Amino acid sequence: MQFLFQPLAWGFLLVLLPLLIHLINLVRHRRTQWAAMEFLLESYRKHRRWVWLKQALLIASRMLAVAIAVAMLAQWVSGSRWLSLISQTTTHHYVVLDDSASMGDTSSSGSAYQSALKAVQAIASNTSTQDGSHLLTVIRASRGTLASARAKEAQAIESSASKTTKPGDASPMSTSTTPQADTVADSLELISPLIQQASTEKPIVYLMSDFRSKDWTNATLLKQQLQSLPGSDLDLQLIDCVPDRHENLTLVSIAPQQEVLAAGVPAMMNIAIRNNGLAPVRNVTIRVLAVDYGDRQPDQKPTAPHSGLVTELPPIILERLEPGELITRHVQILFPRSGSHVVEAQLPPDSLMSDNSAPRGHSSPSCRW
Amino acid sequence: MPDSKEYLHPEAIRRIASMELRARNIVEGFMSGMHRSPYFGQSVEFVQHRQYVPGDDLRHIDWKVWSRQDKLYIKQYEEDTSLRCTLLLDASESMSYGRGPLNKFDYAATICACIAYLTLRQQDAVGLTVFDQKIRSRLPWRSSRSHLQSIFKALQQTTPNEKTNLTQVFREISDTYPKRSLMVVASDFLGSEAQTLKSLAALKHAGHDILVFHVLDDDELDFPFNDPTRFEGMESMDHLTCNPRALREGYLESLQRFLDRVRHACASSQIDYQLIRTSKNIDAALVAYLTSRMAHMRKK
Repeated sequence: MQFLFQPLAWGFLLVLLPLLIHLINLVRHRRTQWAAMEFLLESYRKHRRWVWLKQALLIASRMLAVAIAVAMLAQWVSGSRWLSLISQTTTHHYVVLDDSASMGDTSSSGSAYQSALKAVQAIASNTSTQDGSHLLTVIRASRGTLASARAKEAQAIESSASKTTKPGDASPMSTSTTPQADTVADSLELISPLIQQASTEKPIVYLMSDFRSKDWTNATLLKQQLQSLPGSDLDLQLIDCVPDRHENLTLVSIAPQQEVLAAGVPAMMNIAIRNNGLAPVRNVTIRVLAVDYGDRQPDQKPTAPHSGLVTELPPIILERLEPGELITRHVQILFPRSGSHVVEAQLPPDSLMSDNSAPRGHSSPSCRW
Repeated sequence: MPDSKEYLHPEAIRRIASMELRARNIVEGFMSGMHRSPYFGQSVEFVQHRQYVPGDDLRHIDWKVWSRQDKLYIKQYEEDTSLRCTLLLDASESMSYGRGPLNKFDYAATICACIAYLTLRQQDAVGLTVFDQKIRSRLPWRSSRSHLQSIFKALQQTTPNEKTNLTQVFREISDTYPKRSLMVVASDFLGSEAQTLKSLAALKHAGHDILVFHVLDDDELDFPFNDPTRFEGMESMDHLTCNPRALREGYLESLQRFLDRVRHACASSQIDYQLIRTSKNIDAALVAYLTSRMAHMRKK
C-alpha cells in the first residue's frame, strides 16, 4: 500500500480504537436491579447470535470507518476504480513518441517533433493540476526498436522507458528526430506488457506521430497492435503532429547500376524519387553533384558544404509525378581519377528537408568509390 | 385557579407524604375537575345541600332554594351502601422498581388509597389485602370513616419484598371473601403468568367483579437503557450483562406478547383491565374504577 503522506499511515493504529472502547465498555457497566428479567432473558436467548453478529458488524464497520478516514487523510494510492472514492487512483500516461525522420517536418511554426515534445510537456503540466497520482512514461519509437531487437528483455524494456512522476521532467525534451523510418509498431509492442503488469493503473496511451499515409494506409500490423492493447478501460489518443497535409518529395535511393566502378569509365547512377504528397507535382528540378575527394585526405573546409572538388552535373527534370508514384532516373557520371567520390542528389526544398538530399551518414543513399 | 389535573401528577403526589392527605387531595381534585360526573350517587334519598361550585352538574341544582335565596345549591343524595370493594395490593420485591417520582408500589398503594377514600366517601364498604407470595395483611370490609385510617396506616407501613405467588394468594382470597364483591387488583403480574391468569379467571368465576390495574414503570415499558448494564433480577438470582440497545427490540416484543396475553385473558374472562404507567396521572385509574363500580352496581 502506498500513501502520499506516509507518516499518517500510523493512524491505522486507530482502527483498534472501537475494539478497545467496546472492551472497556464491557468492563465498565452499571448495575441495575430489574424486575422484568424474564423478558430480558427471553430476548437474550432468542437473539443471542444475532446480537453477537450485529455487535461484531458494528465494531467492524466502526473500524472500517476509521480505516477509511485514515486512508483518505494519508492519501492512499490505489489503482482500483472501485476504491477511487477513498483512495488516489494512479493514471499512467504512456506516450509513444514517433522520432522518425519524417517527424522533422517543418510545415508549421516548428518541426512536428517539437510539436510532439510540446504536447508531452502539456500532458505533464496538466497532470499536476489533476486529482490523483499520475505516472508518465515516454517511449521514443527509435529506442523502442532497439529494445525490441534485444530479445524484449524486461530490463531492456525498462531502460527504453523514461519514467517520471514529476511533471516537467525534461529528459525526453532534449532529444531530436533520428534518421530511422517509422517504427511505432515496436514501441506499441513494448507497451502491452507494461500495461498488463500495472493492471491496477488507469492507462492512457498517447501516440504522437505525423501519421503519414504511406505508413498508415496499409499498416495491418500497427492496427492489430493498437486493437490488442490490454486494458478494458484503455484510453487511446492519437495526436497528429502535422496538422496540414502538403507536398513532399522524397529521395528514396541513389545507387550505381554497375557493381564494379573504375576511374575513367562512365558509370550510370539510378536515382529514385517518390511523391509522398497528396497532389501531383510538375516540373521538379533535381540537382546532381559529383564530389571528388581524390586519394589523399582532403583539406577540411568547415564553412563549405563539401571539402572535395564539386562538379554540378546537368539537373534532372521531372515533368509530372503523381501522388505516391515512385520514379527512377539515370545519370551518367565519369570520375577521371581514382579515390573517394560522392554523388549527391538534391530535391527542391520543402517542409521535410531530411529526405530531400543524400544524408552524410553511412546509411545514406550515396555512392562512394 | 389551579388546574385540578396537577394534583394527579406523580411528581405532585410524591411531595405529599401522608397517604390520607394524598388520597384526599387526589380524589377531591379529580372530582372537582369532572364537568358532568356520571359517577355521583343516583339514589332518591336526600342527604344535604352543598353550595354550587363550577363544574357541578346543573341538573342537581335546587332551583327552589335559588328562587328564595338567590344562591345556587346542589342537592346531594345518599347512595346505596351495598358495594363491597376489595383492594388487592401486590407488595412483592418487583413492585419496588421505579426511577420516576413514584415506584410501582407507591403508585399502586396511592391508587388503593384513593379508591378507598372514594369508596368510603360514597358510603361503600372497602377492604384491603396486601400480599407477596402469601397474604401479608388483611383488613375486612368496613364502611365507616375510621376504617380509612386503618387502610392508610396499612399502606404506609408496607414495604415491598419477597417473591410473588399470585396463584396461592388468589386461592386464599377466594376462600376468604365468599361474598361477591368488586375486587381491585394492583400488581405488575411479573411471575408465573399462566397460573396467575388462571387464578384470576377462577376468582371471576366465583362471582367477583374484578378490575385489574397492571402497574408498570416507564423503564419496563420503554426499556430506555443505552449503556452496558448488568441487570440483576429482583425476585430471582438471574443476572445478565449486556448492551441493552441490542436487546431492546427483542425485550419489547417479548413484553408486548406478555401484555397481549394478560389483556386477552382478562377480556376473555370479562375482567376489566387497565395498564398503568407510573409516569402518568392517576385519574385514569380512578376513572377505570368508577366505570367498573357503575357496571357492578348495574348488575346488582
